[in-house]
Formats: sequence, C-alpha cells, structure tokens
Amino acid sequence: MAKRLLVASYYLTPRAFGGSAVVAEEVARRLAAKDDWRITFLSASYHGSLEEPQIIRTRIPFDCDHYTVNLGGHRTKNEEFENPKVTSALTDLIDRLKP
Amino acid sequence: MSFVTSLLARPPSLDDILFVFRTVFTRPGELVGVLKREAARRRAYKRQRDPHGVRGLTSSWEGAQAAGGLRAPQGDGGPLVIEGPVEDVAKAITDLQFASSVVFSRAAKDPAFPALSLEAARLGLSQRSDAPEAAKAARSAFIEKCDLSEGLKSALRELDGQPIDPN
Repeated sequence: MAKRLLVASYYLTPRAFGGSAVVAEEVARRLAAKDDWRITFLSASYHGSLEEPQIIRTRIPFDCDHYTVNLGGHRTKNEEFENPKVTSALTDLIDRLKP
Repeated sequence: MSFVTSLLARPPSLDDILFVFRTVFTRPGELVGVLKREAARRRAYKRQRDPHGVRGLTSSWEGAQAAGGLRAPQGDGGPLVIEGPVEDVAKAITDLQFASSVVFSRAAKDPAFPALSLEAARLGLSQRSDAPEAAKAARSAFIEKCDLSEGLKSALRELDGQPIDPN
C-alpha cells in the first residue's frame, strides 16, 4: 500500500519561485516517481470574490493531485493571520486525504 | 492609479474618455480622488457581477491548463446531488473535487450551473441532469460568453462535448 504524503507549499508550478517552494516541489516530484508514494500538493491562490474559501483540485504533470485553497475575497487584518474558515476547510481536506 | 492602469490595460471606451475629460474640467483639484473612487466603484460592480465566484473557477481552469492538463481523475467520494439554485457555490466546488459522480437536479437555470458542470466534466465525473438539453445549452452559452483566452475556450468546448446523461 502506497504511503501518502501531503506537501503544503504556498506556491506551486508554474508560480513557484524562491528557495523552499522549489526544493519542496523537487523533493516531492522525485518521491512521486517512486511507486510506493502517493503525493498530494496543497497551495494557495487568490481568485474571484467569494467570502468563503474554496478548494479546487487540478492534476499536475507528474501525476499528482494539487489542491489549491482559493483565498480570494475580502479579509480583515485579523483574518489574514488567523482564519477559522480556512482552518475548517483545510481540516476537512486533511481528514479526507488522510496523509 | 488602478483606474489609470485599467485604462492602459485595454482600449478606453468613449465613456471612459468623456469621464476623464469631464473630471479634469469640472473638478481639476479632485482628479486623483475622483479616479480612485471610480476605480473602487468599478471593482465593487465587478464583484457584484460575480456573486457566485465562477470567475475564480475559470481562473483555476487557466491554472490547470498552464500546468499541462485540464482533466483530473474523478474523486473517490460518494455521488453528489446539487439541487438548484445553488446557494453555497464555494461548498459545491469543494464537494465536486471529492465526488465520484454528480446529479444536477433543477439546476440548469442556475447562474452557477454551467461552470460547476464544466468543472465536473474536467474532473471526469459522470453527470446526470433532469434537464439535459437545457443543461447542454447553458454550458455551451457559458463558454461562448465567458471572458477567457481562445485556447481555454477551445479546451472547454471539448469538455462541453461530455455527455450529461438523462438516464
């Protein structure tokens, strides 16, 4: 049975830049090439104007699922730091993925 | 400044040009403030025009296409029934990501339906609708009027060809 890994990085290809995001993606890509790992990515995006965070899944070239938490919409300064709605959405996602 | 930027991003309409000239001649000392307020008003109007966040969904299609593939395998969760009108579009989009199939019941006339149906097709979900002809027409019309690149429209037209099974 494949081991499950959730890689959380603020940005992912094609928007990844800087050191840590690129390294995380490269390590995950190499693990994904092995048969005994199932890799899932989690990143953030800012689209649209919904107040509730939405989670959108895409499929990225190295055969992994990529979940993007869409944080578009108005947020207060406090919500930029601590957002119970985002926490709830991510908790639900992690419960389903069971990494 | 964003008002000026938006003017530079696309050819200004006659209304835009008249607005600027009218402001320059009638309220020259308040030009910057007037332009800022107009930019805020236009942003608020855009948000009103996208109350269901489908613009965010179309942006996700752009991202999927840029990543090299528009299709994703269907989820392994249970069947999903979406009954129109869709009140919580954000939750519907999230639920689609995990579902194994979707039934659109009384949803073909909902403004959010076409984008949700295309997202379901992108995710590889088998779809059923109690109004399949109206559903297909709504999906096709959405693609043609959506503000997207021609490349993405072409990819969505392929998804539009996916069946909405009445059986």
